[in-house]
Amino acid sequence: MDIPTPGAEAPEQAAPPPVAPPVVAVVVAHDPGPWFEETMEALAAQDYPNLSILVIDAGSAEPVKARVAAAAPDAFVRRLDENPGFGAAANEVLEVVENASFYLVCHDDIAPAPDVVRTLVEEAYRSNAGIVGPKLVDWHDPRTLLQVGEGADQAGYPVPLVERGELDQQQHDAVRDVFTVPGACTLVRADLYSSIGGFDEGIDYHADDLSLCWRAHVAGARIVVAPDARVRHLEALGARRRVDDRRRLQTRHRLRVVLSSYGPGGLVRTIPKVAVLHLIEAVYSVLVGRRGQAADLVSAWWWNLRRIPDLREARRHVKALRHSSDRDVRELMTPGSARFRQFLRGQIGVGEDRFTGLARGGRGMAGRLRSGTARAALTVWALVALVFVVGSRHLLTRGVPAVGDLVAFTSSPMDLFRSWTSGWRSAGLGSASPAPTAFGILAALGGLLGGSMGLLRTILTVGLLPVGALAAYRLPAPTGSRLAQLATLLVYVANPLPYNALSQGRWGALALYAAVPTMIAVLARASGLDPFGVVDAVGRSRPGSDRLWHRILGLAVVTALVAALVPGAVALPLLIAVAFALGSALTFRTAGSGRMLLAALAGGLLAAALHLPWTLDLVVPGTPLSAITGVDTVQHGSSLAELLRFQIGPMGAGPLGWAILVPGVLPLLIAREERLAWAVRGWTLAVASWGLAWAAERGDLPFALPSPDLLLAPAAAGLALAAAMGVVAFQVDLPGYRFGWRQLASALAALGLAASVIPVLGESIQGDWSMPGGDHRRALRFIDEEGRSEDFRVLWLGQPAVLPVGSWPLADGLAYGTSESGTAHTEDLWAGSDDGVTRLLADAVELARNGETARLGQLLAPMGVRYIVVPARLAPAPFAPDAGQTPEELVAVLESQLDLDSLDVPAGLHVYRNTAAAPMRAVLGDGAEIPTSGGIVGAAEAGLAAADPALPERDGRRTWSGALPDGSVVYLASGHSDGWSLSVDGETAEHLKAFGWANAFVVPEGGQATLRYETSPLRYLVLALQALAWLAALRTLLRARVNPSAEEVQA
Amino acid sequence: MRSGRLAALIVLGGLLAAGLLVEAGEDPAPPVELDRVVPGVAMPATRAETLTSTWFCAGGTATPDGIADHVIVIANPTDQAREATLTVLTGRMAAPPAAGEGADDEGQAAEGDQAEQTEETTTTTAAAAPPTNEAPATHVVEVPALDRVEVALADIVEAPLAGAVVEIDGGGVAVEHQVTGDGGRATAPCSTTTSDRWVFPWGVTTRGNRELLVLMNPFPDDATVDATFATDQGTREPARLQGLVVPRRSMVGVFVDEDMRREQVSALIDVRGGRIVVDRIQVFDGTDGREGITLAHGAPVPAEVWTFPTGETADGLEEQVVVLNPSDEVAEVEVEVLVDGLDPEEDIPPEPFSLTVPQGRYSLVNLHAEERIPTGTKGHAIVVRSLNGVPIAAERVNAAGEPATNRGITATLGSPFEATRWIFAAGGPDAAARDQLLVLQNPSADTVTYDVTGFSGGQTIALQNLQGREIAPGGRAVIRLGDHIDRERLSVVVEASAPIVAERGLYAIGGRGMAISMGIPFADGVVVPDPLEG
Repeated sequence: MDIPTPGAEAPEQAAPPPVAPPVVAVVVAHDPGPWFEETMEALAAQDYPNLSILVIDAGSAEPVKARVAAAAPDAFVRRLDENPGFGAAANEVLEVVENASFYLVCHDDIAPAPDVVRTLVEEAYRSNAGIVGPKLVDWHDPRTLLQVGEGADQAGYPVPLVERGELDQQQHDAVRDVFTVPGACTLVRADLYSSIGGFDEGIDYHADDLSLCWRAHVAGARIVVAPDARVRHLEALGARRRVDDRRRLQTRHRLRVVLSSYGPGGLVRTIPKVAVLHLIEAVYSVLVGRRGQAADLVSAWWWNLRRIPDLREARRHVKALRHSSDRDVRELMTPGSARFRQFLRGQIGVGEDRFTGLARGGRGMAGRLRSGTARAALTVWALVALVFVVGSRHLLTRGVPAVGDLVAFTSSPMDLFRSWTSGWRSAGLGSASPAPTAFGILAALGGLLGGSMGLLRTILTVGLLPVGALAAYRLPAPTGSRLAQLATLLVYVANPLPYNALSQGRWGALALYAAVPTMIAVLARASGLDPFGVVDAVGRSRPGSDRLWHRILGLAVVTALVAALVPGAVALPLLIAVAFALGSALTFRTAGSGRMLLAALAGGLLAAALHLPWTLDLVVPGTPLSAITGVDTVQHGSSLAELLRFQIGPMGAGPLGWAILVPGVLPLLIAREERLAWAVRGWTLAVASWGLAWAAERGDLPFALPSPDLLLAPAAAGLALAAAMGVVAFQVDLPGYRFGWRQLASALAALGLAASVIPVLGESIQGDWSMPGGDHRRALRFIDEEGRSEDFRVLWLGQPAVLPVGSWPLADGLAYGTSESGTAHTEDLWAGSDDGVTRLLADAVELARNGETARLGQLLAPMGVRYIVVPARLAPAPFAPDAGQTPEELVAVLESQLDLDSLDVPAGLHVYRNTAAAPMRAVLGDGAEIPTSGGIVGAAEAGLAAADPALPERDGRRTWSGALPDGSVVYLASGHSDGWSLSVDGETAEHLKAFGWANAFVVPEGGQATLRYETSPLRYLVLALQALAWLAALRTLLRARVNPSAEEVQA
Repeated sequence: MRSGRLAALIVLGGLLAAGLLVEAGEDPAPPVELDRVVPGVAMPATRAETLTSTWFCAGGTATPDGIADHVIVIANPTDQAREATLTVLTGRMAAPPAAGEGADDEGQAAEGDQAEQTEETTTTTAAAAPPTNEAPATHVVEVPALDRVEVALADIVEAPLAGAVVEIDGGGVAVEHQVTGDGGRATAPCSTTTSDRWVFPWGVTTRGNRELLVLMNPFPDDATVDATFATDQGTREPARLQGLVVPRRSMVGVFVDEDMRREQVSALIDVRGGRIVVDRIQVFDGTDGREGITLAHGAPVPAEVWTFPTGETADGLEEQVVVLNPSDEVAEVEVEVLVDGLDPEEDIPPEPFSLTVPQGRYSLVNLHAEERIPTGTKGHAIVVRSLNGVPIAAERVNAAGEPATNRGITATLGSPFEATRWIFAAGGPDAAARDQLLVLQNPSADTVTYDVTGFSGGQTIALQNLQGREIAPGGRAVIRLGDHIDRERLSVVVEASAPIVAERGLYAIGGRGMAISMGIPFADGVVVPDPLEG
């Protein structure tokens, strides 16, 4: 044996004459714990006569040389500066060792019995095996079996041959062929090791043994386990890597082994199976709340796809050593899917690797399976999914009609991205104000979906139903009661709120329905109150102090996502926290309230910060409150009884509508301790939400509030939380009572829950949740077609609930908004502040409403308004009933205008063409002059309707070009901003503030001209910072999920 | 440790129960109804501060032999000159009914047919009146401050029908129009609104009397009209007037007497699509003893109270009130006659007339024939009010003949408002040709002080003895302007210390011609009377 490795420090000694094949024990050590000396001593104590020990110090923070010297003075040490992973470190042996017959590749946490090496070598010769593995037993209790070799299925999933924890009674002590031997201690023939290239260095940890053994099989080698060789194994790697980390690495590396080890034919046959299995597992994981597991499955594919060149190289290597066909190798594998069997045994997600104990987890899950809750969860979820799919089938197959807020996503991701980055907003008369963050979010999501904006719209509308259901299901997860989770799920799914929101086209209400349970869950965890806190060693619940900022960040991100659609949502966490604090006071349990309030306040502020710079546009002085609360603050006339039943649409009426309240009452009657406290908090939140919605409906408040459907979302979640506590109380508290009325109340609550579901089941039969069967788009298609060739504005007037654009308040419950060159685009859904100029539109309409003009069209002409659209209902007849939303007085006023041509359109819609309309970009010749004051009257008197259109060629969203004559003036019917510039043959034209609000450019000498809006570089910088802030927040949250704190791991 | 269960149940349950109780104890929210009885809509009104003001003057002719030569009168009481743009629309008469569908003389054999036609619904669609193929003419005039201008449409266009849309570059201006024919001259305010429904409570189509409805469509799209008439034998819907198209920016005239011959015909004009303005010109040629011409626009919006300051019956002076119920519910109506000079201690005021007016039908009170109304010496005001909230339209008809000194017939809608300022654009006392009366009615329980100011030729004229005068509570002031000034071209503004109703009568001296019409209120200071207060 010769180990001429430079740098290796070995004691000088005379080599004994070879009496046995030379074996080199390769110990890969990385920051080993106190057990390491025992490992080295055990190796040093081997009775094999020709054993050398090589310790590869894989970048340990504290070099192990001294420890090795103390425990095994004859051992060699080779130190690596960095930790390249177990396989790569072990492969060092190929460089530093020559003439060895066998390598014994070892972890640094094993303790082999003194005869292990000898037994393994003997078995290698006896069985003519290339790889021989020992029996692994527990470090602390050697009577307990860990592994005696392993099988594997075609997807590389391990198939244990013994049950972990099984008492070793030598019942598995027969030598047998196995597919893999665990990597803790593996004897490999040196020539085989060399020919197959050792371990796959693309695998750092986990599945390295699978790879090694698979390639050995491919090379025609035999692999056996010799149970007479007994090795204690500490499995310390499990303590050094978190479970999510291990699971992720295992998933990735197993897939890598599959992708690199099969031949082409085998790969074609296997990959679809693996993909389908992964997909099913991912869906299942999401359903049962193991999002990390689902993410690992997806990321495994992504991780391998990113390494295709490396995989190709690995496959070439395997091809070169192939002596056995895929068929031969498959015969060594366990038939069928080990993973599926694990699923049937309830093992998925509990112990993902042998370190944490598959069998142990399996026993626990099997117990739960026997109790029926896992199966019940799957059954309930399957039914819920069925109801969602059946109830939404027409929306999924025919598309979600563009009604109310559910505007059609007509803009591409690139359009949205440009709108987000542009410093110019087209809403109203245009303004140099920040764009809503939603533009960027939708652009990113649309990009992720490959530009399929229709699919994105469906996901963000119908898809919010299951999101809300899942959030509700997860809300009571810390209680440990799956029945409570299922009850919460059912109560939340049975709530009429989301279906009514869909039927009324209320996107914001849907978003809040999806998000509020998560907000509550985060606040509850932030409180640290039982059962939502981290349980300490003595069983007390506490907040988990090192994670509070994660809670706040999580709350901020969820809130910010909703606030992208409903800006007022930034105040929602505080509302919830205040309601919870009041509920706490009612039950004399005020502990934790401060933390909730703090988290809510910080979360809300952080959410607002995530929307910078858009937030500034909403809070600058002069911005109407409606920009934050929404314009839809008019009273809908809902009574308190209707609000209590969440009847803001067709669902919720009748006696069954009251059933939704029943399950939540139970905990108020039977719950004790924190269960009662949380139920009261849930009810307090519900009562507060109802109270606010009722006050807003009655007009009793001196300030604006969002529409009732938005205010009712917390009530729905509060009821669900109370229902969850009812089930927990049923399980925990009820057995402590004598038989009596409480049991009857429990039965009634169950009946109430069942009854509350019936309306949803009935509603689902329609297949569209009572959404209108059509929308106004067909009737208004002519406007879109006209807008493809010309630029103009469409002024939308009417009740805000039926306007498909973001709007500003007009008067008497009416609102106004605009769209550009067609009907509403995605970007038109956010109004923002009116920046002072947009209000001119309202002024003009008000003049007409006050009878001060009969030529409204003339007033609107300088603003580029060519059409006025007044939707009187969500959709044209007969798709939507007449809900009495026709603004008759407004229609009468518009009908009375001498220059508005009433067009023939379906009932439910009033459309007027402005016969006095002027071009958005007009050119005035003959040395025309445009005054810099005069307002809308001055502009109307300027006679722009007779002007010719200018700059017809569009180049991008905010750039137009064309030829201009000498001595002309170009008028731009948009709010004035210094960002607008007109260059004529390279010369910048003089820019005027026409009529005190619009843009005009003086062109003394004509030529080829370009009009564009120049966005400030500062804005790009700010947006980049905003994007970075979002990415950082998301990354931090993801990392927090993948790497839970030690406290949580312990918990 | 306290669980808080009881506190939570009490507080949370109590809050919900209290909310439900509060709601249950409240009256159900009244249905939201738009207040459509607004100045400028229910009747013409002018606003002092507006960007522009628009007036619609539909009725009239502009041919040398026309039955109603149309003249627009624009009065500017402000101290700034205004520019008025007249868009003159022209039109023609609708085609007469086809043979067999024409008028049926009253008392003839067609009575039986009429009964069958009662409540009929005709679904045939009438053809549009032939368009004039003439683009509207535009005429711009300057209206000097404190002055008025008169524009004869015949000077601008020549057409069987001519009307004008008058757009003025400011507020405070009043526009009236007058038609002149063989029956004399009628004067009335132009409309300040268009509407999809116009109702005319009164109309006469007996032999020798012609009722012309002039339908003006000033908008850029066609309007389609259905006409329904309520007669003493039910409602009629002539086929030619169903789906009648009024082409864009033009006018159509309809002689109602071509379809029916009745002593009393109420007209309801409904517009299927769009909005129009409808004026009525009623001509009496003396066949039945009545001579004269009337001009009035219909009521675009019904109201619950209609007030008529002028009223007098005597030998030769006949007066009747026609109440039309255009709604879908039966109206319970009271017609109260407020006789001048009654001694509260000794005199008993006339008992109000109670009417039950079915939906879509009319009812009338012939005050001249009612003994409870004193004749000859005492004038009166009339208040028509709906007692059950069903809005109605009420029109008063006054006819003068032998042995009265005046000749003519006039009809006017009451005023649904009371106002503190009223303007009369047309008129002016002319000792040689025309007498002018102002009748002011004080509906309040307090004494009201008023001033009457004329303006003409750029000057304001505070009329002598008409400053600071008082009207007793519930009383009237009848002012003969000729007693205070003699000026043929005089526009008048009446300003009162509290809301009143003001009416003007123009009477040709020694010839045919009588026109009584409401003043034009200034919208600021207008109040809507409560029908239950009276």
